[in-house]
Amino acid sequence: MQKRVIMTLLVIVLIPILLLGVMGVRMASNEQDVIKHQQSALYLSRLENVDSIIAGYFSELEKKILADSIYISNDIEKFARYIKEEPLVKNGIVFDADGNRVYPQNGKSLSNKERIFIEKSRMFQQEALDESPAMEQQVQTRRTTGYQVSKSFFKASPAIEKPVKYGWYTWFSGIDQNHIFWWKTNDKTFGVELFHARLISDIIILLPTTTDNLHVSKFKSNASNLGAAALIKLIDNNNSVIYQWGEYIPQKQQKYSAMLLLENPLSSWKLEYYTDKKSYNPVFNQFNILSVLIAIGAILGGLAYYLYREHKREIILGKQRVNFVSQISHELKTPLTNIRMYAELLEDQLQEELLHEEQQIEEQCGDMQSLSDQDYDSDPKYLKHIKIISSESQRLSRLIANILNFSKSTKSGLKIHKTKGEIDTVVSVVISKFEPLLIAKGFEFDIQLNARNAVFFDHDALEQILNNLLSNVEKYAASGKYLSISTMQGNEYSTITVQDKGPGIPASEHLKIFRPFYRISSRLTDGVSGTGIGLSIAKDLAILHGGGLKLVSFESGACFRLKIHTPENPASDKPVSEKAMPENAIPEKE
Amino acid sequence: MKKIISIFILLVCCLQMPAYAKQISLNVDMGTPVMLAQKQQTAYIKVSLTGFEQEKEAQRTPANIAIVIDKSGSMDGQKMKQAIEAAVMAVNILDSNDIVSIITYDTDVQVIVPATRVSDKYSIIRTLRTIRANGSTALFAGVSKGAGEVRKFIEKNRVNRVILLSDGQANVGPSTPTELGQLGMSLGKESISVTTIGLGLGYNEDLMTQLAGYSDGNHAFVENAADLVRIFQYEFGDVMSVIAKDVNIIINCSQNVRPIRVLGRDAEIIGQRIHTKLNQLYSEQEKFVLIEVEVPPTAVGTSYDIASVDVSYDNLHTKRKDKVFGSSKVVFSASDDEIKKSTNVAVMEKAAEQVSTDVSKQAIQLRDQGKIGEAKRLLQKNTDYLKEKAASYNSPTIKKLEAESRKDAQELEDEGQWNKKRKSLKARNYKRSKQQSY
Amino acid sequence: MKILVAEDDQYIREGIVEILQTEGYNTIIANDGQEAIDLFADHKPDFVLLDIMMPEIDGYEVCKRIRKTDEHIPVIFISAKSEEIDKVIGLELGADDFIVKPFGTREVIARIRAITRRCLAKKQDSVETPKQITMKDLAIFPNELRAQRGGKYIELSLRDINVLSLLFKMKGKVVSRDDLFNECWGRDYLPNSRTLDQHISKLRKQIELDPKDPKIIQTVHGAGYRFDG
Repeated sequence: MQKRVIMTLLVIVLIPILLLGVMGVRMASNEQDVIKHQQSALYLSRLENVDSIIAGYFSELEKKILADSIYISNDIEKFARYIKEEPLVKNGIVFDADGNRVYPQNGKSLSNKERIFIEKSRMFQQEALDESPAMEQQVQTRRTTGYQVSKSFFKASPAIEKPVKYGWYTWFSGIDQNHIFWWKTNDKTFGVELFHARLISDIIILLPTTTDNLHVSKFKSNASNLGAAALIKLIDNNNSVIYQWGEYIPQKQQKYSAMLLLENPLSSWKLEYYTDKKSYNPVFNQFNILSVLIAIGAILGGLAYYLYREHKREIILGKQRVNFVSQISHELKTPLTNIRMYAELLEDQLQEELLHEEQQIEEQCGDMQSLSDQDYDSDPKYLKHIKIISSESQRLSRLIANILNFSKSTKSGLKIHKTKGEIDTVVSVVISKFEPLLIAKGFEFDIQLNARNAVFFDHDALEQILNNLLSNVEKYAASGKYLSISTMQGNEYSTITVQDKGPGIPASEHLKIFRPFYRISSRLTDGVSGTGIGLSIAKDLAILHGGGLKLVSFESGACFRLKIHTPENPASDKPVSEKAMPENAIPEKE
Repeated sequence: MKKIISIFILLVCCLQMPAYAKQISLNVDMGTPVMLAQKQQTAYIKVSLTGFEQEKEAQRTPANIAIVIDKSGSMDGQKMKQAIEAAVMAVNILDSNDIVSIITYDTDVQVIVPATRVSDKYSIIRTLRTIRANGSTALFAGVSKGAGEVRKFIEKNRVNRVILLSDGQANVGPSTPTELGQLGMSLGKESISVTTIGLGLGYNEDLMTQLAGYSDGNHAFVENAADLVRIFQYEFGDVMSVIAKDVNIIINCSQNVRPIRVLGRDAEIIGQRIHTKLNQLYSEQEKFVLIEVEVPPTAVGTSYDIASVDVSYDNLHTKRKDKVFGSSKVVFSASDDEIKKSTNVAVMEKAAEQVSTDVSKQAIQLRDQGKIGEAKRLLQKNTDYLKEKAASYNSPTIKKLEAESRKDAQELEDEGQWNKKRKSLKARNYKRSKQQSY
Repeated sequence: MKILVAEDDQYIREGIVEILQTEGYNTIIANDGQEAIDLFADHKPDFVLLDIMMPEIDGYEVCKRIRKTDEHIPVIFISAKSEEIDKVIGLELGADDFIVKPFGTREVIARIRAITRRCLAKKQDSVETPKQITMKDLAIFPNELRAQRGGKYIELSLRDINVLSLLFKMKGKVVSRDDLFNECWGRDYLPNSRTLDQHISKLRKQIELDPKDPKIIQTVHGAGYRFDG
């Protein structure tokens, strides 16, 4: 029992903790996910800002070259000069719709530089001529929202008058990246090769620098506001860092927190964002969750412990009370024994004397009609008194026995010990004890004893049960003035039926009466005293005895049937303990 | 009456004289103005430009300089200290007409003094002194940011320059000589020169020379940090003596000859036309380009203009675009004596030097490929060539070159010293190609 | 028959002794365990009544020691303890029965008589006691302490049996009060004629059809009693 209580309390403590723990962990990971997501979004937006700088640069560059193109497209000389003078331009090429090279001019000798370039750009020439889809793909409107490169960056980038087909053509020769910005007029295609290093350099100029927190300078610069928290890297198609800014130093092998791919013409490039992963302090971090769990665990544990202690104390108290009760009962036994014994002795002796006197009188007076045969009615007062003392002391004994049995039933359990004997003998003894009392109340008796075989049974138990049944009859069914007891035996079971003609037992109560302490009514006006444990004891004992006690009818008076297992040989005795033998197991025998 | 008018005109002309326009002087000289007839041979044409004298102080062209200082971990100690001192000295030399910006770089770039007039020298110097060395080397980004700062105030009438000081290998961002060279080329087109100063034995001389070369800046190999201040002085000396910019040189060779190569400078040869460019010309400094041509057998007595040169440039004195012409004649003779007498030894000396320089470049290339033997043989051949030339022109200069070449051949094999040797060779070659003043 | 009674409570002890004496037994009284052991050795009773809770040496211990000398002597425990375990211990020690306080006189008498029957059954072989004697319509089984008339059984005490046996033996003759006393009460017993007469009255009540008109035990005034055969 104890274990069950402990287990229950443990479960009560652990399950909430577990649930909370699981919830907490989930919420923590949720929060982490949310934060990560938010941060990812934040970092990404920062990278997008950077990307818009780069995109803005290319957009402005486009504008500038397109603006320039208007002036140089119709004059090869101007175009040649443009190639020579424009710092961003490395080489140029022009060819017509048939693929004939217009610049550098066919026929004229070429410089080394030009020769190399023409060779390098064959694919471009081919695709431009064929108007291949690859060319078309690279024509795109660039994001111009957000950052606008200052107009002074390129000397002149006025609005373009008319839209013209143009685009970027990027290719790789080995690890080198090449860029040609091309445009088409009605009849010709123009292409200018731009210095890749120059493009990078220009972009780097536009990107922020790292603040140097070590010095205080009165010079404001284009320093970044990333500070110590983050680092952004610009990475090319070979995965090498082109440029980086921000004071954060990532650990070796640290992975980026966010990444963004760039657009044309640097579409194989990317921006990476590095930051300290643990720079946020979520509410639901491990420490918090753990401390909350521990706190709740402590509270619950404390509660559970308190409950357990209270429970234990209750049990101990209960045990103490029971012990106390049985202790008292034991204490009472010795004086009670004496009272009963001497009362009975006295009763016997007085009976003897009376008898003797009567007989003597008979002898002396001959046939004179003696006093009436109602011996018991004309008892002298002293005899009546002693009889009362005697019967009351017996009652006291039975009460104490009941109490003791009851306390045993709550402690370690009642036990049955069977010895050989006759059922009827015990029944007779019990009847004889109650006879005076019941006759005094005007009872009629109907005794049918047919259980004469020598069998094994617990005499005390049987006596106890019958005591309780008859005591109830005396207490509650006195109005019926009738008691019938019949016994029978068969098939290793003995059945004793006790019937009265009292007020009976209401249908709603007929199972409740077997409960301990249950009394149908404890109204004092009933004038009947009782503890309510009699039937409970009786039933327990009956069950222990391999049988049962049932209320079989309750209409006009109560009829109790007691069945007990009474084997003829002790070997066939089935050991029964308190917990076994529900009533259904008893074979119904009529 | 006519006389009076002509005197008057003369007077007026004379009056205008004091404000006479200074011009760069162009000289087109042949190594051998008289050549042997009936023989196919090579000839050398030296086209040299000399900057006019600059008037002191007030006449000086204002500068627009970005000083880019490497502050990577390897600079820690004396190097950093000296670098800062050099920059401080530079700031002190400049005045409020000049614009300076200071950029430092390690793993990232810090623009510690954005382009600003050199008026509050104290603040600039104070900022300089806060530099601490630590990190990697984002050289490309440093130079880029420097160029960006220069661009803010870029003007035709300013000397726009980035001065780069580095002691290590670029390891963040583009770091190949080609990439840096391309950047240099682009910047050069924009009239921004990059001077590269390599400090110590750990920098990449190929990268540094390419960057400077294509943008027509100066290059120096400073082995000892203590020399930095002095080198900066020379550099700023150059900066403050620029008298012409955007110098375009077009050399038209006679149809009779075939241009073989251009020694020293980077030039474009298209048929008979050679085109080269100088970003700037310094006061009283001579810069030249040497052309090697092949002359077919020609009849005695023939004479023609072997080359005519057109130079156009931005005259920072007149603040105008100016032009200058020049040409050189060649005559064919059968007389050795005449030939010998007329030989321009100075030109031949320069030719020898430039040829030597070219050989040195090749030898370095071969040695880089591991072909030490071949490199050595090349240098040996050069030594022999120089010996011959020294004898025939009786030139101590060429004799020195010969000794130098011999020494180079020897030192080529020393593995332990090769790093230093290579840097000093590259620097020497560079200076000779560009006729650097320091 | 001799019964040894060991009980430390005075009243219980005296009460039991009185019951036993009324039944017709000789009693040997011990106040505690040690005395019980000593007296057992001296007097060799026919069986023993032992209280368990006694000072010094408890009933279990006494029983053990008694059993050492005599394995077969009947032992009955008297106790306030009614726990099953106590009964088991008791029975394992060789007790023949258990009387639990508080007990009634009838309980004691019933158990005593049961034991007595067993003793008499054993003794039967050696002593020539008839199995049955018949007095008028009453069949008496001395060794069973029982009489029968018709189908009904009548329980009798030892003394009752002794009295009836004596009357039967002296069939037709008068048995004097003194003789009856000597035979059935014992020489040490203080005679009190009232006692005897009362006993006879009681006996009559049990065995006679009409106690007021006795057929079996006839009063001989001034002399004694007689069974007429």
